[in-house]
Amino acid sequence: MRSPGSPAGPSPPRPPLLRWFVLAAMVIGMLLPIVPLVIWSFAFRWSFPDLLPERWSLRAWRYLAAPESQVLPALRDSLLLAGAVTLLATLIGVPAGRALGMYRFRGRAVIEMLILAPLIVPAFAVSLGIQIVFIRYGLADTFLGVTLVHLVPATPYMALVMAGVFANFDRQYEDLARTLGARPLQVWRWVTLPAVLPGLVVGALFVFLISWSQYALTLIIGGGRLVTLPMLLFAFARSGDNAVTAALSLVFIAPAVVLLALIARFLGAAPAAGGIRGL
Amino acid sequence: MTALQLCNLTKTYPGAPAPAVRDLSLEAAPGELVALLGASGCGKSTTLRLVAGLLTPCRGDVRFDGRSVLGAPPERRGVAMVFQKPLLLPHMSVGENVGFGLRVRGERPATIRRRVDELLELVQLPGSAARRPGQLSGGQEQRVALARALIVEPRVLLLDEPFSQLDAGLRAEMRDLVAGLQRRLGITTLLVTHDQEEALLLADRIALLEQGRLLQYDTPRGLYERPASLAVARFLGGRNFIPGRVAGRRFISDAGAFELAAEPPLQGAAVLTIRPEALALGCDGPVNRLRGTVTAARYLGARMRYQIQAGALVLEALADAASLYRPGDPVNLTLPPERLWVMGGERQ
Repeated sequence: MRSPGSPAGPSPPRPPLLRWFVLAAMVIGMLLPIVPLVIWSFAFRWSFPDLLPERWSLRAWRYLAAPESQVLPALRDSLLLAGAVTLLATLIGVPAGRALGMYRFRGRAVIEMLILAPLIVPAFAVSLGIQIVFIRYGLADTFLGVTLVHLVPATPYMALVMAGVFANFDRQYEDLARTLGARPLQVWRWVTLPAVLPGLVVGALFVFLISWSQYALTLIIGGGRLVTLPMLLFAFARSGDNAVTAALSLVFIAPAVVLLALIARFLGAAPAAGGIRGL
Repeated sequence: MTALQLCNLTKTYPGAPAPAVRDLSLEAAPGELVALLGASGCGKSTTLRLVAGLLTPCRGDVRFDGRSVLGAPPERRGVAMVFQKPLLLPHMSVGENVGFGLRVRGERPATIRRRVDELLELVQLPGSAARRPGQLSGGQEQRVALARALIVEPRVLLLDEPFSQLDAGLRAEMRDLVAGLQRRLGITTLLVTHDQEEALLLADRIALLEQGRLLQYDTPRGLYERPASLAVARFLGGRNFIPGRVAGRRFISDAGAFELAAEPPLQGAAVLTIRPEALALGCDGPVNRLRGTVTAARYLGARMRYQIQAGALVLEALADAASLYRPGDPVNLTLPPERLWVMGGERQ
């Protein structure tokens, strides 16, 4: 923290002009693609040479809210699914990351490889094999089955993020808390969790978004019974109704933006791997 | 006040070729401060963690007041530990850090606040409960860590080189503070250190460890003046070792015979030693006189350190800084019989 010679001092300020330029470029790069979506979602007719639609309408938004579009149930299922995946990936990924980040043990390299494997081999490639197994065990076409298959690409991210966080965590803090009378759960609540929370939140966001944007796995394992937002989005995009597609895209983007805003304060802290560190 | 007993304690880490601690037995009387002294890797920190319950011994027992505590997890042993680093929890204030041990025990907030103030007073940081750990200096952080350990009123206090990361002035100050508090509160204490000066200064008794084995367990004076073996003498800065053999009250070596003050318990092959500061330069004692030549002189401030060649012997002497021998000067030296010590000849 205050070790002599650590490069803790602030970096010299960059020229303001360059900074503003970079900031503007980032904002434009993030927001610009959204602008046409917003316009499209309120357009009734918008033909080629016009800068703006000639007629505006709430048709697309009304349609999304209507029961026949299935958007609201799909939104609910997508949220439930991503929530369940996030919860399970956290329960698996945090202990796994802790083991990988904190301990040296026999077979560690192999386990690390196995955890990384789903990131190297696309889950889609093995999903057909998974589907056969899932059909046998009655998991195909079920919410639980889709949750499990989403864990395949999602859990490695959680484990890797937490491995980085725990590699920087000084275990003596836990020893100290134990000797002062804290039971293991109290150690976790008062010492370990506050230290790893920033990394954990960022990892959870990754996992949520991976599940949220999953299309192929949901389609194969869900068998069309479980309809999530990405599946509706594909359907509308193919139907050629630009207004409805644009509106649905905005609904699809919204949770990511909201979550990102909520956890923005953790993002800066995440590279520092969370609060408590050794000197 | 708790009596601490370690019985045949042995710990081998998984995969390690040799035990980190082997067959270690020692006891500390209630209120005693025992230093575990040794070079790094001698097993002293392992011993501390075995007492704390952070490690489980392979064999042996840890007893508080005669009762084994091996069955109790660290949080129910009634120990408190201070580490090399202060390890203040950065998301808590100084007061919350100090009160941590009471909070996890479910004490009432009012009680915790009162005790925190008392303890901060005790470590000479009154009124700093609201400060953040980052606002403190290294020495202050370590004092907060001490207060945090003492607030739980431990049966045994474990100090793991708590002064090693402080600079010299602060270290002396912290040593005095710890020594004073330990005496006043009468807490049985184990201090791990690699610094012999620190061990001599603070400890009632010192356990000198080497490669997991207990070499000698004695008072600071006993360890310093009556080392049981060459290894002990060497670790405590012994320099002058004369091989030979004991015959009655005399020690016979190639460099001549020396009179001893009393007949040592051992006879036969042995090593004679004398502390550099016990060599008398320039005066002719009644016995054990040698003539030599100064081969090196070093000014140490309070003392002069001389290297003296006397026949085949090379001896080191510490003398008053006012002495003015220069390399090449002849010098008379006397080895006073009462300052000579004979140890068993052993593996070199």
